[in-house]
Order: sequence, then structure tokens, then C-alpha cells
Amino acid sequence: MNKKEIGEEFCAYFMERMREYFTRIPEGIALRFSNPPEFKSQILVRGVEEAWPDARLEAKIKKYSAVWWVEGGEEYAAMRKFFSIVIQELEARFLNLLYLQELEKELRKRIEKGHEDDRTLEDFFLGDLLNKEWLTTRYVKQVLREKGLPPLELLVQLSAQKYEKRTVKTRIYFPGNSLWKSDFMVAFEDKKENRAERQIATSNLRNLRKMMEMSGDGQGLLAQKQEGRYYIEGVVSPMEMEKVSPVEVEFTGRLSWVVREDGVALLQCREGEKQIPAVEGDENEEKWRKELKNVMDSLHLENVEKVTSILEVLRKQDHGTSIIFMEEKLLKEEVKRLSGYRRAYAMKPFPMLENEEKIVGISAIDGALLADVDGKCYCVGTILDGKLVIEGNSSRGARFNSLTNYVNWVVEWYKEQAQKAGKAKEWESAWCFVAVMSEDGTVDIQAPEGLMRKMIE
Amino acid sequence: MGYNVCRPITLHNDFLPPAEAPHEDRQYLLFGYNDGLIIGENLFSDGMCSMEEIWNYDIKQVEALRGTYTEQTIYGFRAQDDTKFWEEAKREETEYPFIFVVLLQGRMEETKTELYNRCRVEQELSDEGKRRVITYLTLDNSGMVMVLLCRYYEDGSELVDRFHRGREEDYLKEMGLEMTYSFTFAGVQKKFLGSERIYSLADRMLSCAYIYAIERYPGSIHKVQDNIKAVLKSGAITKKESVLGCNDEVMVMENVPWSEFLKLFRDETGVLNHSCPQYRQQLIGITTIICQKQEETDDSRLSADKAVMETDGADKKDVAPINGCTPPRKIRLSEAMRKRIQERDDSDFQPEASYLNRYLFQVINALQKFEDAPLADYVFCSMFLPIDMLLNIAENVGEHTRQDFIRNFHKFVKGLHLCVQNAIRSDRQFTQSLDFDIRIYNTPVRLNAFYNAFIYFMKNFLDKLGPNTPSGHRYEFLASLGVTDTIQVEELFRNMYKGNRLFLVSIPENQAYDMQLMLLTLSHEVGHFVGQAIRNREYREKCAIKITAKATALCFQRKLEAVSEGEEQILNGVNEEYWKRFEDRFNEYLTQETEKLKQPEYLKEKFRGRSEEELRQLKELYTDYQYYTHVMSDILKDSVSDILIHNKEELFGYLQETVYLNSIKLQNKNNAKGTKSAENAAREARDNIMDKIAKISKEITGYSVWGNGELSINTVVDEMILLFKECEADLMGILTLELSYEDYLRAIQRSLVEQGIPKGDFPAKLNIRSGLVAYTLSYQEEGEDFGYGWRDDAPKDIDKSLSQINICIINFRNDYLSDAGTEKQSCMEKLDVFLNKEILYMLLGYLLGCRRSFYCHMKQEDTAKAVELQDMQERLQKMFRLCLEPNVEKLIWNMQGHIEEYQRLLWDEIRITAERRTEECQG
Repeated sequence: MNKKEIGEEFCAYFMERMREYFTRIPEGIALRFSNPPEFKSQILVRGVEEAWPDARLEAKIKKYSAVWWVEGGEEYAAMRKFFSIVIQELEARFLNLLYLQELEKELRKRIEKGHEDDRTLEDFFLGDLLNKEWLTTRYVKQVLREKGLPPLELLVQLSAQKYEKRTVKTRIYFPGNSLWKSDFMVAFEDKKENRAERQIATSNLRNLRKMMEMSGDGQGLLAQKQEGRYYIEGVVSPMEMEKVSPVEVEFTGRLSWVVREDGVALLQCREGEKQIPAVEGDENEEKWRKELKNVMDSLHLENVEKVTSILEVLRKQDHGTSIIFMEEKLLKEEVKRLSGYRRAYAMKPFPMLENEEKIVGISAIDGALLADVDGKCYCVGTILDGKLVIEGNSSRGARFNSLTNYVNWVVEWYKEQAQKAGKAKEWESAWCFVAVMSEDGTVDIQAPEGLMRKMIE
Repeated sequence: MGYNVCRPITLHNDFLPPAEAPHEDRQYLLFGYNDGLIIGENLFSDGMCSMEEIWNYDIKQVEALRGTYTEQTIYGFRAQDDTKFWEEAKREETEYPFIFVVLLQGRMEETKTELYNRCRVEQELSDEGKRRVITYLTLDNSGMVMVLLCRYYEDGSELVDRFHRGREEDYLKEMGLEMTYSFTFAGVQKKFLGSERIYSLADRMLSCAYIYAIERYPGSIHKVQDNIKAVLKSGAITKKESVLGCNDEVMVMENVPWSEFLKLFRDETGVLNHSCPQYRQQLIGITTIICQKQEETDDSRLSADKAVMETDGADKKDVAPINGCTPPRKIRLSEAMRKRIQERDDSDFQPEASYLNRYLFQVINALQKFEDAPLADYVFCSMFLPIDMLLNIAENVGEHTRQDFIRNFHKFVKGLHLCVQNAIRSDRQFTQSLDFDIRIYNTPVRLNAFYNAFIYFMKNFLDKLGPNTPSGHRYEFLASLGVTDTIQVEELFRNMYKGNRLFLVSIPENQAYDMQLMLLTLSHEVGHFVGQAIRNREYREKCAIKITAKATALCFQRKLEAVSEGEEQILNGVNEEYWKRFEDRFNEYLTQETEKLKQPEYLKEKFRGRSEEELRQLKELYTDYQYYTHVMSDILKDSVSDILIHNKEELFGYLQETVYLNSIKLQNKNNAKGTKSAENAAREARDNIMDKIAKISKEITGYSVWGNGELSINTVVDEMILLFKECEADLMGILTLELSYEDYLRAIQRSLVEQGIPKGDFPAKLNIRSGLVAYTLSYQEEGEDFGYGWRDDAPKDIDKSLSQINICIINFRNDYLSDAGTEKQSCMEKLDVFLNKEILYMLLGYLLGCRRSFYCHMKQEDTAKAVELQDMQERLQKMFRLCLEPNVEKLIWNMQGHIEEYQRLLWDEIRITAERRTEECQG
């Protein structure tokens, strides 16, 4: 068995731990501590230090030649930035190769002998570095600093500001070239007197929010730096900004904003939770998509992509909404039943994806949508009923709880009825599941508990 | 074996003015330059030859001195009991009140000088009722001492006169003596002098006596004269004249009855006796010269075949062989030396140093005074080659070594002076001049010559061992007596002229008579410096470096453990593996350092501010002399300091970072809150350990006037070098002389006594040294032949007096050299470091190499050289075994044989050297 090089075990372990929190790190990305390859294309990012004090017993020379680097070259800026921070930290912490060696010994001991409690050196040397929140915060601060963006607190405050009870949805562009001006921009008169009102500063939040309302969802504001401060210069269109690829802060809702560069999300903040999309993705996004696929696979349904697209569209609904997908027979019966009691608007089935703009408006009213997995909507504004068959979740709202209860009740109720009528077989293949889209953008997929349990198993 | 006698004959010479009290202890009153004579008891009690008794007797004599006189003792040796002879002499009613002690010098033929022959001649010369004769051999310049006890003064004086005029030379020749010179002390028994028996000499007439006097005050001589006249009654003082020089007046007496004459010398009453009030009032000192009428003889009847021993470097008339070999020629050294100095170009010396020539010329002049005196060549020829080397070195002195040269030159001249002083000591009285120099040394000349011969043979033997190509090294030893407890050898003009090494050997008087110990010690001392081929200097340097590295590691390890007591956890992981690596690294750095010192660029950097010439000399020193112990010692000590400063990180990096990590782990165990506090604590722990390291570094690389025994690398290096040198020198002596284990133990024991170490004590240093030597010599390995060795270093029937030392050596071996041995853990004193198996084994490895080298060189392929070496070794062994010779006369004769061989070889070497010099001058 080949003797491992110093750092080899550590790098493998470290990446394993990283992937526990940052699930989107591709398999091809690996941390290395060695002399990097000649082909730079294989290097995602590399450290600065090339020679390390070596106090190990077996050391032959005063300084050991190696570099911290990350393998994998075709990844975008956010991942590069993330790992450059990781490498900076590793360079600052492992000042001597002996530390690395001893840490590897500790890891080995733990693996071989199962001494789980001995994490002394790992806690000391890695500590924060394995703390997702710490690392993410460090990343966020560094990105904001490097890109010359306003401080985190200001962005959070801006995203929380309402204008006439409306949450903010717009963009602010920060082009690198402070002299760039758009010919098509609706620009403010650049006078010293009005400059203070246009300054991006904590003291000017109300003005800024007002200006952000001017640009709205479809446009953006252009910010330029003058004498070390940013000022809003005018309103620009996203298409215009594509020419210069600026850094963009997109405000997507209350306490929700994303920083992008070249169209790539560098960081994301939602309800105070900071995320690095390149490496960790959206937990909820991952989750609901996965769950949707699982549910549909379990029900042997195709069209996962179509259903996913439908949900993407419906998420644009500001106030949140919900949609129940049903088996055709069940769907028709329920539409009839519920609309008969004036608890829903029965619709001529229409393809939701071909009526994207309309469906956003339609879904604005109270009540769920009923649809099939082919993407046709049959019913809107549905007020659901049902006997309480499962325990409630007090951490969730009324919508979520009633929908979850409904999907657990409806199929069983029809089956019971059918059994009584001696037609149980007709309802054997009935199914349904619901997608609940909350105001904060999260999506929950709920299916009958039996099915969910089966999926877990 | 015979009965051995060592009879001390002590001559006394009063200071001027002499003490008041009569000399009760003196047996004889002497006429002439000396004042009194004592015949001592036989120093060889029970007839066993033991030369050490001479030293003991000397001490007693010196202790008895009262500051009123000096004395000189001549020791007469005889392999036959002489008690009866001296009983007669001591008898109050002796028939033979007059004594004559005749020092006879000349060439002697051993076979004829055998006791049997001498006894026969003594009998022939003796005349019952008139004269009794006895002869002794000596270790002085005189070949023989003849003592005559006579009834009348003339009975002795006329015999001596006949010797002088060559009339009784047949007797002397019969005794194997070809007399060239003699000196006689004549005296009268004091008991006889003070008794009424002097009147039995009333009819005996003293033909003539000269009384030389120093007046106490101008004119006081007249009162003395009057006193004498009153005693002598007849007009005995025929004239009184004034003289110049040592004395003021001379009174001449003629035809005086002996009875009257002797009265003048009686205690308290005789005016010419110091105890007499008149003497004290009128005189400071007197010298009495008695003249003897001579028979008319034909003085031209000198032996036609008397050897004329002259040489000025050219062959003269051959002399008759004696003892089967051609006797050595008389060497005219002063001429050769004078030429040598004069041939040198004086412009080599700056004006301020040219006065050094003056000293050399003065010494040579002094030598010349005695060169024509009938003294043996060996007294002086041992000085020639050292002087020649000195002149060689002088020619190569550079600007920057001039001061060192001058300092060493003075030491050399002083040593030369001491040599000359001792050599002529026996004969100084013959100069008849007052000599106020302090006389410290009493060692007989012949014994000194024997030691010089041994040094010479030993030097040649060890130098010859080695490859056939000449070593190019020349060694000269100048041996003289010194006021010292042990033999001291000092190298002069060190590093001044490559390949030329000059040594001053100071021989302690107190050991000079312990011949066996002297030879052992001399073999050891010469072995220190000569024998390159055996010494394996390059390998020794490698060992020294390794040992220094190991010792440094040990020092740090032990000291760190000591100061970290109670904090062992912080040093967790700093284990044997680490210290081994430390040692290996240190070894590398030391090796590199010794190599770097040969590079001019490095020297320039290291010794900034030095001139080009100084740097060149340094380079020469580190290149040509790097393996010499004094240079190696300095290099090692300096290098250790430098390495600890410049390579601190590489050496202690693991230690300090391990402490750092251990501290973090400990913090975790103790639930220290927060990484920051753990980091601070860990940093502090690391700083603390580095402070300790710095302190220990300073401790072990510094010198302290208070802590001579304390552990420091400097002292460890000193001890290590000492062990290398002393053990190797012991080996040289043991292997050359093929000493037994008991011989070695005996030498150790004697040495302990000489050093005044209490019985039962065995110093650790000596224990280590002797333990190593014993182990080396008793080491055996299958398939390997190491030559001479000791089969077992624990002989069963060892002498009880040596058992204590033997046990110490065995215990040392068991404790530290065997597989079950342990090492000393405390390591707080310098010697503790050497109680480490690895270090001891390194030393042993070196010593075994020396032993093997010796054997290989002795058994070399060149048969002729091997035979020559064997012969040389045999001679040395014979000289050593000679010390055990039970018959004192055989001892003296064999000694003389070796001395003559030494003289012959030396003469050849001098001749070759002189010829080469002449060629160089002409070329």
C-alpha cells in the first residue's frame, strides 16, 4: 500500500465534511495539498504560499514545498471565490506541517479505533471552518467587500423596507466602470444638491426604497461610485445592463435578495439566512424537487418536468398559493362535488403552462387549484373540506395544515364510499398530492402519509 | 641475584659565612672546596634493588637542610655487601682515618668492570694497615667511584696521583676503565680529628698546604695568622700573600706535622674550624689545598693508543672497539650548531627578534665549555636536533606568528638551560667557582640519558609504524627535569611549521627513580604525539563529531526533563525518536561546519575584519591541522554554539510545535473555554519551552569559573578529547611494551599515589579511561586478529593490592558496556555524559581501530620493515624489563648499553642532518 502524502487524508476528510453542508459541490472538486499540476485548467483555485515550515520528525529540509489548491477547472466564479476563502483559512491555520500531520493522526485514530470523542485538534484547527454559518458569513462579507457592494446590514434593511405596504422587487446594478453610462437610461440630473438623496447609505433608506419602486420588477437602478460613495444614477433595463455584465443585487421579496455577477448567483439571502448557491443550492428547492420526483415516481407518473415548471410559475405568486394534482376520476368527482357546493370555480380545463401570465393572476385568489399531471387546471379558488384524519403541524399555517389533511382524507373517503357501494376496485388507483407554495417562496410537497412513509422506506 | 647496595656519599658545602655550631652529623671533614662528608646507610634494604629509595632519601636530605649549607650526593652502586668496609670507617678507633672519594671518568668496558674483576683489583690496591679500597658504579657522569680509607694522607694521595700520571692505569684498565678524568675529595674522620689519636701523626709531615682565606674585615687575617703560629709552634707559615678573585689572602704552610695541622681544624678550638670563635671573628671562609710531593717519573710515558676523541664532523683516527662495537665518536656539537645559526639569513628576523640569536649563542658557548670536558656525548647530543628544528621553524615564521614564536622561543631556551644545568650538575663543583644558583634537581645524568634514549627509540618506533612513504613529520623531544608532579609535555611552536613538532618534556624528579613508572609514562606521553598511522585522526574526527552531537542531545534531553518536572505531559511525544533525529541532524551540521571552515569565502564571512594574511593562516590551520586535537576542540566548541544559534528552528522546531499541540490538547482536557484562550495558552507554553531551550543553550555553551564539573558542551568536548588522547596513548604504551593487565593496574595505582588520591578513591575520569582501555585490549572477535591483547581482564590471581582498581574496572564494564548495562540518567555533570553506552561504544570503536592498526602495521608485507619494527619494539621492551633487573650493576650496565646505542643512532642522524644543511646552503 502506498504511503499517503502529507495532507492527503486531511483533504479527503475535509471535502467530505464540506459536502455535508454544501451539497452542491461537484464530485470533481477536490482539495489538494501538493505541487499543483502544470496545466492551469485543472486548477480551480490555488493558494499563495508555496513553502511551509516543516517541524516533522521525518522532515529532510527546512521548508516543505506544496500549495493548497482545488482541483476542477470548469466551475464558475462563486465556487472559485468560496474555495479561495477556504484556502486562505487553511494557509492561516496550518502554519507548520506538523499540525497537519498530527491532525491526520487524530483523524486516523478516530476512524481506526472509533475514538469519536477525540476531536481536539480538529476543533482547534478547523473549528469555524467546518461551521457552515461562519464560513458562509465570511464568504458573504468578502464578496460584498470585493465587489464594492454596500454592507450586508444595508442590503438587509433595504430588502425589509416596504413602500406603501409593498415589498421590494427590483435590481440595483453596480458596474465596475464608474464612468459607464447607458444611453437609454432614465437618468437623474446629476447635481450636487440632489446627490445626498441618491446616495446608497443607511441614512437614506426611504429615498432608496422609493427609487427602487420607480424601477420595479422589470427594470433596475444603476449605481455609480463617486468619491468612494455609491449614488443611484438612474433607471436602466436589464437588457441594457447585459452589455457591461455588472454586479447585480436583485431584491426578490421581503428580506430576500441575491447578488449576481455575469448572471451567476454569488450569494443569496432569504429571511436572514445566507446561502451560497454555487455550493449549497437552496435546501428547499432541492428538497421539494426531490420529493416531487419521488412522489410521482412512486405513483408511476411521468411529466415530472411539466409539473415542476407549473410550480415554478405558480411561485411567482406573491401571496403564495397551492395546487392539488389528482387522478383523473378523482379530479372530476371533486370538481363536481366542490363546485356543487359553491366551494370552487370549475373551469374548462386549460393548459397552465400556455397561460402562464394568467395563471399567476388566477392563483392570486384564495383557494387551491385542482389540476392533473398533464398540466391542465380544472378548478380554481377551491375551498377544501375534509374530516380531520391527521395531526396538525402548529408551526405551519392554516393553508398547509388543511391541504395536508385534505390529501390524507379525500382518497380514503372515496374508497370508503366505494367500498360501501361495492365498487372499491374502481377507486384502487386513485391518488392525489399537493404542492403548497408559501409567501416566502418555499414549496412543500405533501402526499398521503402512507405514500410518504413508503417513499422514506 | 647478589646483594645490592646503594651507598649515598653526601658532600656538604657551607654557605659563607658558615653557621656557628659544629657539624655534629658530618663524619668527615673535607679539605678543598667542600667542607664535609657523610656516608649514608645502604638504601637498598635487605639487598633488594629499589631505585625509589633514592628519591625518599633525597627528600629527607632536603628536609634536613637548615639554610646554612648545600649538599650533593653521589650514589654508589654495588652488587655486593659493603657493610664491613664501612664498619671500619665508622669505628672510633679506626686505623684508617683518612678518606679519599675519587670520581673516575672515562670509557668503561662492561665485562671487565664486572664485580669479580673489580674486587680483585680492589684487593690488589688495598694494603692492610695502609689502605683499603672499594669501588662503586654510578649513574652520574663518572663511570666509577673509588673510595680509599687510609691510615695516612699520603697513602691515598699518592695512589690518586699515580692515577693522574698514568702510572696505575693498568689497574684501572683491569677494572675496565679507560680513565680520562678524575676528581678527588679528601678528608679526615671527625672523631679522629677530635681525639688524642691525632698525635699518632706527630711524625708525619705535611709537605705543603695552601690556606686561602676571605677576611672578615681588612687585616683580620693577621690575627688568624698569629693563631696558627701559636698552634704550629714551628715557623709553619712560610708565607702569606694577598690574592685576587674569590679569596683575599693565602697562607702557605710547609713541613708541618700532621698532628699540628689537624689541630687547626678541630671543632670549637681550631682556628680554621667555623665553630671556633676566632674563626667567626676573623674570617668569612677558608679553602684548604693540600699539596703532595711527587715522585720523579717520566710523564711522557702516556699510552700510545690512548683514543683521541675529537670530531668536527670529519672522520678522525678510528678508536679501538669496546664491547664489540665501535664506540660513538666524540661530537663537536657546538661547532655544528654555531655553523647552523650563522648560515641562516638573519634578514628573516626583524631587528626586534634578532636578539633571540644571542640566547642561542650563549647556550652554545656554555655547552662548548663542557664539550671538551670529559663528559659523555649523550649529555649534549640530545639537544642538537631540537635546536636544529628550532632553527627550521624560525626560518618559516611569518609576520603574524612572530610574537608566538618569541614566547615559545623563551620557553625553549629555558628548557635547554635546565637540560644543561642538570647535565653538568655533577660537575659544577669542579669549576671551583662559587655558584649561587638554586639546586633543585638531583637526578643522575645517566638515568636522564636512559630516559632520553627511551624517548628517542619510542619516537622512532611509533613514527616508523605506518605506510612506507615517509610521513614527512619530524618530532623532537627536549627532556629536562622540572618542578612538576607528573610528566608534562608541552608542544612549542604549535602550528608554525607543518610537519615539524618540537616538545618540551618536564620530568618530575619525584618519579625519576621509579624507572618502571617513568618508562610507562614516557611511552604514554610520546604516544600522545607520535604515531600518525595508528591514531587514525580522520576517523577520530568523525567519532568526535558524533559524540559531540550525541552529548549535545543528551545534555538538552536531561536538562529539559529536569526543568520540566511536573509538566511531563507538555513534552509528550518528545521521545527517543526525536532526540535521535536531533542527534543525527546535529551530526550533519557539525560535519558541514568542519568542511565549511576550509572555504575562503566562508572564513571571510565568519571572521569579518581580519586581514587577508590572517584569513590565509586560518584556512591553513583548518585545512592542515583540522585533525589535531587542539584545533578540533576549538572547532567543535565554536560550531556547537553557532549551530544552536543558526539552526535553532530545524533542531527544536518539532519540540516547540509539539509543546504547542500538547498544550492545546491539555486545554481541551481541562475544558478551557474558547479556542482563543487555548491558542494563547499554547503560545505561552511554546514560548516558555523556547525560553528554557535558550537558557539551557547558554548554560551548556558557556564557561563558568564556578562550575568546573558542571555540564557544558565545552567541558564535555574537553573531556572527550582527553579520553581520546589518554586512552590512545595508554594503548600505545601497552601495545608497544606488551604490558600485562597487572602492569597496567599497577601503573594506575602508582599514579593515584603520586597524585595524592586517598586510598579507596578511584576518580570517575580514570575509571572511564581504564575501563575503556581494558575493554579494548580484552576484546576478541571471531575471525579477527587484533594482535596483542589481554585474554581476560579479570585475572583470577590478581595481586590483592590491585583488586580494588580491578573491581572498579569490572563494575564499569558490567554497568555501562554490557548488554544489560544502563546509562546514567541524571546527566548533570560533564562525566555523566560518558556513562552512555552509545558514546562509550563510539570511543571503543575508535580505540579498537587503533589496536587493529597497530597490529596491521606490525605485520606488514614489507618483511624487512616488519623485522626492523620488531627489533625496535624488542629494544623498548628490553628497556622496560630492565627496570625489574634485580642486580643493580647489571641494571647500570644494560642501561649504559642502551644509552650508547642511542648515542650512535643520534650521531648518524646528526651527521645526515648536518650534511643536508650543508648541501642546502651550497645549493
